[in-house]
Amino acid sequence: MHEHTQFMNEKVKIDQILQRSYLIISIEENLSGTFVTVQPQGEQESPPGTVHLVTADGRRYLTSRLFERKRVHAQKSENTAR
Amino acid sequence: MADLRIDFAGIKSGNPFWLASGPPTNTGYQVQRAFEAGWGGAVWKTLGEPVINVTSRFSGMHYGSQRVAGFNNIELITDRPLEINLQEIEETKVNYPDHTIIASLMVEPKREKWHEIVKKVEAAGVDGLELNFGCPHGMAERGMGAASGQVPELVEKQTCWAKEAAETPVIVKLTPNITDITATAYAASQGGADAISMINTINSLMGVDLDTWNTIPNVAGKGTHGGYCGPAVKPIALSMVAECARDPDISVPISGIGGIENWRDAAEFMLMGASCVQICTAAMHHGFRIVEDLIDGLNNYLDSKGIASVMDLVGQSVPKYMSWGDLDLNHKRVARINLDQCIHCNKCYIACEDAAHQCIEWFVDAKGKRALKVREEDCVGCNLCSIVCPAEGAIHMIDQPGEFPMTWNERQHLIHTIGG
Ligand SMILES: Cc1cc2nc3c(=O)[nH]c(=O)nc-3n(C[C@H](O)[C@H](O)[C@H](O)COP(=O)(O)O)c2cc1C
Repeated sequence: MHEHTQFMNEKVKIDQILQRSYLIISIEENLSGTFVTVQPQGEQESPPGTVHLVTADGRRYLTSRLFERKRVHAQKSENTAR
Repeated sequence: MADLRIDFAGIKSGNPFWLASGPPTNTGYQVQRAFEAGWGGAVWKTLGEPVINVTSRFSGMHYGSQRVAGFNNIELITDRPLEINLQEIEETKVNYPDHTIIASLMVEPKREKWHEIVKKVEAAGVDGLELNFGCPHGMAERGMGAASGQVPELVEKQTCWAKEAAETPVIVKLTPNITDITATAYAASQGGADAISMINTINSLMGVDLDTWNTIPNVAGKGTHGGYCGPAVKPIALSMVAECARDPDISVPISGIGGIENWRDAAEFMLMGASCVQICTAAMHHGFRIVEDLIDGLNNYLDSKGIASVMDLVGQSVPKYMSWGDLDLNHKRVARINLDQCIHCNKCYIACEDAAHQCIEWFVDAKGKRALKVREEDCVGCNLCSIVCPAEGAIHMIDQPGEFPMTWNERQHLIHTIGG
């Protein structure tokens, strides 16, 4: 499989995590890549799930989206403070 | 015409081009001819207790059709008595009062030895001193040169001793034969150095003769490690200059040395923080008159950029040089093949297929001809295809509009805060 195709599959999973209300519990990076552990919100009983990212683009994309989210949050709280 | 005059640690010079200490600055005859040709300054062949040299001394690394891509020597410091050198320095200074003469010095790491030589050479009228802590062969075995220059405490202490006696600016010439040159650069500035210069030559063994199994060069069949210089060492020298220039704890001026052959090389060193440059191998290869092209080229470049003084070039690229962790991971660059220029040699295809990311592929164009194109989504922008491509303009590296910047350091910090 071309790396880009592999990345596109990972991107779908990352977008799912971020669009639905999942809480990211941890991001662990080791020799096998990045493991994102998430807890579906409002469903405390259901066990946390883990997404395994193996492509460099996937790992880059995940943190870029998280940065974006952080930025949007910061912007929102700045606006409400005004 | 731009103003090429420089002020290097208080030493005024007509232009930033100095001959580095070495064979071209061995005698007054040579230095005076160099000044006549247009060199702004010369660092005299290192003075110290006169040595006895061996034959042979040099060897050249020829690569393809390029002669002297690299150069190796096992020559030591001056083999002439101090008094003769000083007499010639005095005479040269009288004849060329507006040209810069720096005395390169190397003595044993003893306070009184430094005091003695500093006083003697300053009496001859030099404009500054360069302490040679860099020579990697011969002198190092006697505790001098690189042997001193690899130990930060010795660099600091000897700089201090030279400074105690010196009235002219003291430049410390550093050896590249060390893991982190900022350690010795910092030691020099702590010792009171007015400036630093780099690099001296890099430990090297040029080769082995496959018929005789003698090393190259060799002295009656026996060899020893030498010092490597010339165009091949330029990237190493430039990175060492850059590392010192961007270090906030090292604030002394830098003289850039190593592989400088033309005005472009010189301008690069100056952009990276050197306020003057020194040249040895290129003068040995092509003669003193290369300085004409150096001056013309730099002048034209400055004019084309609308820069009035060469000093305004110094350090302009330093803020653009940083740690890997501060580079933007989101920057995206891809290769694009221009079929009008492509000569269909397939070098890019082979390189990408065998040694990169397998993202160049064949297609059949509208006229039924086979051609190559880059699958851009898989291209990592490594540049390999454009490096191996022999046809000028056939492969362009294209910057693509990317996301907001994100560095490795920022990313790791974010992961850490989330709970990585
Ligand atoms: C044959 C030869 C002799 C040299 N002798 C000295 C010397 O006596 N003192 C010194 O500080 N550097 C000496 N060098 C080093 C040069 O000054 C310079 O630092 C080095 O060659 C790198 O510059 P380049 O690439 O322009 O040659 C010598 C270099 C060569 C090639």
